[in-house]
Amino acid sequence: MTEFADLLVLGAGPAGAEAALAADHAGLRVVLLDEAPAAGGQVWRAPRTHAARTRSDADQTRGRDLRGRLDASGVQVRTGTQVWDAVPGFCLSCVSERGATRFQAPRLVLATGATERVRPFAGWTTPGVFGLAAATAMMKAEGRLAGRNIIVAGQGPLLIAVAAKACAMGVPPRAIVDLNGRGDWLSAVSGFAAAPGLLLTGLKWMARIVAARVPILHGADIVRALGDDTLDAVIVRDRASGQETRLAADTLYVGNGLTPADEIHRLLGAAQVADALRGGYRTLCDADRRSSVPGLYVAGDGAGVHGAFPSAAQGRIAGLAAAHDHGALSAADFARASRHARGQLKRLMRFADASCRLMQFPEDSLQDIRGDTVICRCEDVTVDQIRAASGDGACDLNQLKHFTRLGMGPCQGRMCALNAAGVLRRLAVDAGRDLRLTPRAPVRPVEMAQLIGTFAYSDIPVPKPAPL
Amino acid sequence: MPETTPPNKDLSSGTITVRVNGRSLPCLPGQTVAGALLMAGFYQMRRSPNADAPRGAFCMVGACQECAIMIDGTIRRACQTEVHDGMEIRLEGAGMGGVAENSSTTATDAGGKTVESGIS
Repeated sequence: MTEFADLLVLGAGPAGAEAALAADHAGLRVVLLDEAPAAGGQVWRAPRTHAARTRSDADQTRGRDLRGRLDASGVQVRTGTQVWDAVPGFCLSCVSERGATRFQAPRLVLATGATERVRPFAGWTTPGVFGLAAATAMMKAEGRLAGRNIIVAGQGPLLIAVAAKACAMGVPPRAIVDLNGRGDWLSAVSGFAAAPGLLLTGLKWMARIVAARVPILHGADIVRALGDDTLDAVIVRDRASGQETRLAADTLYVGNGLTPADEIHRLLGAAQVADALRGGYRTLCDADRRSSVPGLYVAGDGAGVHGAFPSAAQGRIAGLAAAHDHGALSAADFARASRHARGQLKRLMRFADASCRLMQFPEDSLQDIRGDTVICRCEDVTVDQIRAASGDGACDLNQLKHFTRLGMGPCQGRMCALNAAGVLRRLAVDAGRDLRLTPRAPVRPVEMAQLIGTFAYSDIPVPKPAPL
Repeated sequence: MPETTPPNKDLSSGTITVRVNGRSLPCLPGQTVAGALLMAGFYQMRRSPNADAPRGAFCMVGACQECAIMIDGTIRRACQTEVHDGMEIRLEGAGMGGVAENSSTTATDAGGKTVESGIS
């Protein structure tokens, strides 16, 4: 079954939802797709349980407002829908509870969001070690946080947000292990001041952490997780002195920033450029969010990490640009309707840059990882195996995959590819080489049964045999 | 294994019961399988197929596939699957034996019938 529209929007977070709403308002038939059960993305994620619904915070309110506006609009929202292939034209192949479906439209906005990066360390596969974003997902969706003796570690505003929200839930972390030093935070303040409301929220988080007397270890990272079947303790290293400390914990939440979830951007051949500040690679686009592929627009963290509010502004611009290109909006109306979003985007840029700088992945630290550390979690491929493969001649990620099976598991390289690239790059690989896996469909693991669905053998077209 | 924190106060209002390796686990409406398991202290959910190392939920957003376990007879991501009454959950992933009492590659379901683990 194929559903047709004027515009497809992939991802119902701040960027995608705003793009869909703007294009719908301009009169386009819009289909908005997302794999989550409700719109909102990671940041404005919908609560699933009573406990989560009764918690009130700003993100909860913004999510409710967004879902309310979508409900009141003409946007066809298709949640619970996973896209596994995309071809120019644009046709998206999906699976959902309804089975295999296709969506087709001449224009497509990609607003696929970001994936969290975690710097690997010995024992990071031990049950009880979670991503930092996992904590926000638990708290926002279910109103609960797993763990009793928890440690939060990593970098960036999310670290402070998770720690403060854990305090509010009555589970103050035993420690915050912050890769950044106090100086890094101080130099970010002037950038944060570009968004005074958000800066104030951050200061409130800090006040809550201080009030709960949670120790903050600055300039430190996790080098080891201990425990047989589940986590018992972590080893924290002070980056300046090298001194290691053992902290008992049953649960660790650790995250090292974000990277664009850009599989479909790459599958469709959109031009990109390396941009470490934006999480790895940024998809090139003009001021109206048009990518290098005709009819393809990009917005939000999936095209380069900026954060929720700049993403929403980019989404609105992308949706309006699609409406304009479709002929539904005059140049003057496009300029008028997008002016506010463009102003917002410009104003928030310093805030976004300051946040991204604190979140920037510590690439250099990949060379200190112990040899027995697992890089590819699905296939249990270690740093030593990557080094051996490099010695045997593997010099890019596709070769590394052939040599070691790294990236061949069900996560499809989402957890390992960038870390493996970081390890490989330090092993005499020329600096300019593109160390990424070739994007291929299916971009999500899908069940054959779901793809095949129910069919009659008489429906299968059988071509005439070639004449003998 | 960590205890439930904070205590599941509205557990009494929950009407959903799932079975984990044959044993009953009360859940809250709307909870994901991973959420319910973690709150009950089930951190280890499967073992990795190559190194046979313990694994559990990691990213909680559907990307890492670490919590892909046997749910109602097929391998599903526990963090993306909502609980329903009578759901059968087995702490085992694709291609390897489960955790807890199951150390071989076959597991015994609640009815005593031996089933092959892996994708069915």
